[in-house]
Amino acid sequence: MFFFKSLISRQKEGHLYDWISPFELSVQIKQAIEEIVSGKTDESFRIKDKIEAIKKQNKLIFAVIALLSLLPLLYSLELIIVTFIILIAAFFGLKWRFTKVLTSYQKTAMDQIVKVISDHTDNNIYFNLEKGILKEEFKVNPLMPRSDSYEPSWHVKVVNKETHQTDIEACKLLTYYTYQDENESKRVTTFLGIFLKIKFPKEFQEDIYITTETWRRGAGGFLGFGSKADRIVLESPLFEKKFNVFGNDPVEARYILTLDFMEKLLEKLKDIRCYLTFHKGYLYVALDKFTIEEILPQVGDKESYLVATHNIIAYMKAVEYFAKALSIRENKFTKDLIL
Amino acid sequence: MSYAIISLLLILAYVVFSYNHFIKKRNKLKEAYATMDVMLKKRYDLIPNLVKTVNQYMIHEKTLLEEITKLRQEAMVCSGKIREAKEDALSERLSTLIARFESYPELKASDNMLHLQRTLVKTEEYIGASRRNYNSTVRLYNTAIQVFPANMLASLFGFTKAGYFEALEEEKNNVELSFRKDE
Repeated sequence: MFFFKSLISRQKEGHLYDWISPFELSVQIKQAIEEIVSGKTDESFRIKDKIEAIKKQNKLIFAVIALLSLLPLLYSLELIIVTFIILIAAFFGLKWRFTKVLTSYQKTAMDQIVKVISDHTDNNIYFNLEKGILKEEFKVNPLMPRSDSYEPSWHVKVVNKETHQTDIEACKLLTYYTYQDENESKRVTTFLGIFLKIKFPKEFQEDIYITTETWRRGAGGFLGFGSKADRIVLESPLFEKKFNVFGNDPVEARYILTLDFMEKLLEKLKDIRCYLTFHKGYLYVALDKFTIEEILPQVGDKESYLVATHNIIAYMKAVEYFAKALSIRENKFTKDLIL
Repeated sequence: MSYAIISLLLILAYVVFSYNHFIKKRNKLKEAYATMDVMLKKRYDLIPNLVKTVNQYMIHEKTLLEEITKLRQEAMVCSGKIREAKEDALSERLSTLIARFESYPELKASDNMLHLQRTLVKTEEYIGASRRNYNSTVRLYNTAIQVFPANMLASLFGFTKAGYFEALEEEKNNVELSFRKDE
């Protein structure tokens, strides 16, 4: 147990934005975002109307609650208790309603921001706050951590306008499982980080699985893997020390994992617990203990819109940087968005 | 008496296990070589078409194209270290040829040429990968038959050390020299 703990403690916690240098939004992007906030577009008028309508509804609900709170003065103790319960329920109901409305507003605002970004690039960009890369794609690699519960969020997808092919996808991901310990249900987080999907420039047939978990190297540590893949020992001793590669075709594995590519992986993913999967033309990278900024725009606050825009571009730029550092992608899809 | 039987059985089990282990390693080695051979043959098949296609455009690269054709013919009939040296030289010449495509815009505009170039680059990369795989298999096989006490059993059963697929410098130089003579 101590051995595993010591292995885990060596893993570095990281921030996806540590990979990129500071940047400023382009003038065109800034202008487009400011137009949304100042209510020049039909979309923002619609949202403002919606917010106003909710505010009116909330005022009405508060008035009813205030009226109700006067009733106990006239009647019995039982009624006081009932009224108190109603007040508590109303309080939580309102809070839930407000959160729902705010989330809906922020989602719409994010959609607008992403549309502006998409309009200024050669790609179609999609964003979803509550979705992510599919669980089936995560589970392709049998080395991935146990994920009875799979909760993705902050999903960004870049689709090439010409080929209609997904170039890059990224999401925040939490996976966990629960178990019963005596009468108590306990939750174990198995992965909390960033999950990336990048189109790989080389064609390949067989899947390749890579993990940094060295304990899986031995036959005993490779539980549940069965005959799905064999361990492939590569030539680079440094790479072998950090990564474990599994696959069915050692030649294809070497075709993908060239000496140069291994060196780049080693350089970029040093001290990071990660899982890599080469599957159906894509490279999937799961970076454990990696985070992103989760900044959402606030109602009518211009600065927060700009910060949210900056944040989402930084997210894409970090993924782009990673893909470029591995020589997987050359074209910059954020080049027209920043100064 | 019973100790002697148990010891004998253990030794016998070790011999059987080691023998099977050597056989598995040797088969993997043969498989790795065969895979590499397939890739090299694929390259032999590509070259005539490539030379035919580029010949009309790359008039200034006549010598290079002749060298490629000659090396292909020689590599096909050679074996052992000489073949390895020829294959190495062929890879080198083909890389030079691919690099020189850049100087011929009309070549880059041809769909057929682009397809050929992509196939050639991919084949070259696969050759490199299969060669690395073969050398890695050789290393594992050689280690298996050279460590003590397995080395005694390996020599008893006739398992000998395998050679890596890498041309010796001397042989590489010979390839260079033979061209200089031809020129």
